[in-house]
Amino acid sequence: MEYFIHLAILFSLSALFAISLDLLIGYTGLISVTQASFGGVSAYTVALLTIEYHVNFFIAMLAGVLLASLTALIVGFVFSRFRGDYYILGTIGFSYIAFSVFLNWQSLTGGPLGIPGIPRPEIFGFAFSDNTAFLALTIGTLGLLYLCSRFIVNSSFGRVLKAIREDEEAVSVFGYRALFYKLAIFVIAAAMMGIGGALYAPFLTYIDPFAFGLTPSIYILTVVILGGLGSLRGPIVGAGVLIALLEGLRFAGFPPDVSAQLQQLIYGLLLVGLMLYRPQGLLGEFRL
Amino acid sequence: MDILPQLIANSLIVGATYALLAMSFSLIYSVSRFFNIAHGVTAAIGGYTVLYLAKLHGVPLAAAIPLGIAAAALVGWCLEFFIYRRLRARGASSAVTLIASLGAFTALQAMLALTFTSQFQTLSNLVTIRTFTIGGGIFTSVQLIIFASSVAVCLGLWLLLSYTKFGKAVRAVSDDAEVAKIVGINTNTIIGITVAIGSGIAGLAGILIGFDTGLQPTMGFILLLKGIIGTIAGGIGSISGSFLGAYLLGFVENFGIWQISGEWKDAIAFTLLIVFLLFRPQGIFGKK
Amino acid sequence: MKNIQIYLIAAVFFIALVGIFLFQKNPRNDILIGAILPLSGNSADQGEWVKNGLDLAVAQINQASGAKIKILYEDSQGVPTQTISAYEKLRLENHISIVITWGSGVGLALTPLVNRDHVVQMGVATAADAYSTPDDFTFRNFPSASSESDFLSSVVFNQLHAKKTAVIKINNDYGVSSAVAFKKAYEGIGGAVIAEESFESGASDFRSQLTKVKTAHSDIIYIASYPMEGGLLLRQAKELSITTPFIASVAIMGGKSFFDAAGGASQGLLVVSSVPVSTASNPEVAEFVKAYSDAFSAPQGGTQLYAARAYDALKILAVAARACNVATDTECIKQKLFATKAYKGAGGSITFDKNGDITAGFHLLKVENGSFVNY
Repeated sequence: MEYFIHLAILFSLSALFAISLDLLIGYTGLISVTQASFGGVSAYTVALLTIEYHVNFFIAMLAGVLLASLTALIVGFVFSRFRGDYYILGTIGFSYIAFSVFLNWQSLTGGPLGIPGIPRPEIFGFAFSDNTAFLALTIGTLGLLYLCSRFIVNSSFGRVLKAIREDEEAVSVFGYRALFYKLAIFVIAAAMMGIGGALYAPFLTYIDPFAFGLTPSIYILTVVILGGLGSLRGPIVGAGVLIALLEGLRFAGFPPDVSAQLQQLIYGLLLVGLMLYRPQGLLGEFRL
Repeated sequence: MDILPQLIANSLIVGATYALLAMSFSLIYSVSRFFNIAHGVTAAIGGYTVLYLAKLHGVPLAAAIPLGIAAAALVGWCLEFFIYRRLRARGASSAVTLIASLGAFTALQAMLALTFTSQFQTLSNLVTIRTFTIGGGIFTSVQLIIFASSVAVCLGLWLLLSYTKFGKAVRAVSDDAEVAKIVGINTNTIIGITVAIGSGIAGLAGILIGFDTGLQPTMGFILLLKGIIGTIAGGIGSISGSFLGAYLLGFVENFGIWQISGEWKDAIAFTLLIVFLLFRPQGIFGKK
Repeated sequence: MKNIQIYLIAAVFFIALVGIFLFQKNPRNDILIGAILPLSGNSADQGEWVKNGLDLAVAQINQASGAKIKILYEDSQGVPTQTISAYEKLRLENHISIVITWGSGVGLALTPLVNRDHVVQMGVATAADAYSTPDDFTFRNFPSASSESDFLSSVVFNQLHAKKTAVIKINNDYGVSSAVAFKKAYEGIGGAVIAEESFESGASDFRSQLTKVKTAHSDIIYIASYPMEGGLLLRQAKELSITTPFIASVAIMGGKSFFDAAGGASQGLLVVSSVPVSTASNPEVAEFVKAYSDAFSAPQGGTQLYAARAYDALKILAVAARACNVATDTECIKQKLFATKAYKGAGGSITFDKNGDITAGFHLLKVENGSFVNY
């Protein structure tokens, strides 16, 4: 049962990450494979502030989100001119650069040794050290961000995003500065990743550069595509199904030395199958 | 300055490897118009086929190597026939095909790991390797072969594309597939053969790398990314451009880490990518 | 597919999963020990040797009377974040109170967790100095990086008379800890590190780093690396006509790929190890080598090191676990471990100090004709 709570926390964080990516791909048509990097910026900020300077977690999270958003602002602006495949490539490139910085700026991040011992959040004397309490925190955050996202996509801002997804040229003809909207949603998505990354750090109590490289970004991409683009329930279902699938593998009794490769095999086949037979995913409204 | 000749030699060696991948990638891109991530794994397949035949079953190299190239070509062709062609027929966007190729890549890589274990294995013990000093820089015989192959492939492809009927058809398809179809060219066949040739070249690269250093199931991805950087720097769709762009990358990487520490090598490569994407996305030789 | 059908499928999935959870049965009488090892990935060879060592020890222990020991294996892939997930599963699902781990980053990552949960962690390949913490639940049957580098730097400076050393390290938890420890010890006795280069885990091209090191003209080159990278590095050094001798930390012995990768270039490499290669030194070593050869195959170099450390660790843990109420009293196990003095193991004599570390005797080995022999 306790392990189930552990999985539930993993699920809510994955769903959170996936919703942020869905806002980018599903609603705006921006295929970014570097979301994990922004989570990393926030996670490292939180880890350093809470351990070195004993800053309260929630304030540290705010700092992390701000830093992640700032990074996204710069990156988003630099990449705003890229189109289609080049955009994807640019984000892959940034993902590698961010990973290099996490890995090699060792005086700040500890490099490959990572940062262990990240404390659980505390507020007004109440500590979220118990997993059940932490689950309440993550589910609550997920719910909050879900509502925010719903507000965004149903607003006029959201309508412009969907228009950009369908035809960016047309949108500018009508007088909307597409650049502004794309940048705004990129920063918003990065801020959400910042919240998720900040929660991820004390959950595992340990972070290292490998948690925020290209592979985790591809994992989030798989979740979003599986669950369905362009709908907010899609990422949640996608996260649930993928985690259930992976844990199911663990319990299916495959010898431990092949389970990692089997996981990869399943991801790969899933992506191919989805693209061939159901590119809108399970619940999606936008076919890539 | 006694370091300079060796630095140049190192740049040429690495550039040659990247060039083989860049040219083959560019060739495939010019007809199929999407970033084929699975191209990286065809290199690994070539190498592992030779490993399987020559090392594990004692097949003489003279037979094993062509079979390795053929295996890579076959896998590339199968991906095109069973997956990409269907997506193309449906009018799927290049992003969809990219994601499908990503899935294929992940799945194939996992299968290699399951079959051969993810441990490093090498072909170099199957041949005796001699070293040569040329102009102050040291090369091994395998490295010279890689360099010679890159030049041979560049020339070969140029001749093929400029002077054969097949080559003309390829150029027609890459210019405008719709018009080519109207004129009576069987675009699917042309694309299929082109993909096979490109994958075969990648397979050759994988085999040569297997002799120079060794094989790992994960070797394909970073090789491919470097190949793509080379292609973009040189000019996507141009074989000679990819050739030169790849060597440029080799030089930038090696001279870059001469001044900066070795761990930033990948970050340097991807920064080069982003610089080109920003300021000259058509590359040095590309047509816009 | 209508939405309702999708929700149904997802629901079935979840119910199936919950069902599997609830029906997990664990034999209540056995003592369960968790082992989180790199069973796949780059360090899978070491993972296999450690597992063999553990299995060998378990088989022998269970033949004697007393509660049966059962090891639950999980794959860390050598990555700390995977290890934490595996640890949580073992703790929450299987309620283990002892966990055996492999790796420095892994050991460090789990330390706050095992101390929080009162679970005994025994590292069987944990080198990082930061792992030494007094009076807590972390132990290791493996010498720390600084104890190895004290010996190593003395060998380099005093025995081999090398005053200027170049360092090439793998850019991961092991390489970074080892290089830092070496630099501190070596410079402390008067040596100078005149060049330092690093490479990524999994890299296969070291020519640029080697070219830079070649121009530094050091007396010796120290490498802290894993087997594959180390082997390739040596091969490329030979191709580049580097004649400076090489000396390496023990992890380069940690895989079969070393000799394959190095080819003939491995000849003459010096290595520092804490487990003697010859069996003539003591009967426990000979007994272990025979048992391992019978069960698996003759242990070579690195195999003996990692398997023997795991083997000894498990035997000590088993004695402690059987003497205590494992499920509820890990404090008891902890005290029994601290009380271990001069245990004669297959990897040498074992005494845990107040940090849970051991002091190991080191040996200088060299590679001769494809195997590790005493210098």
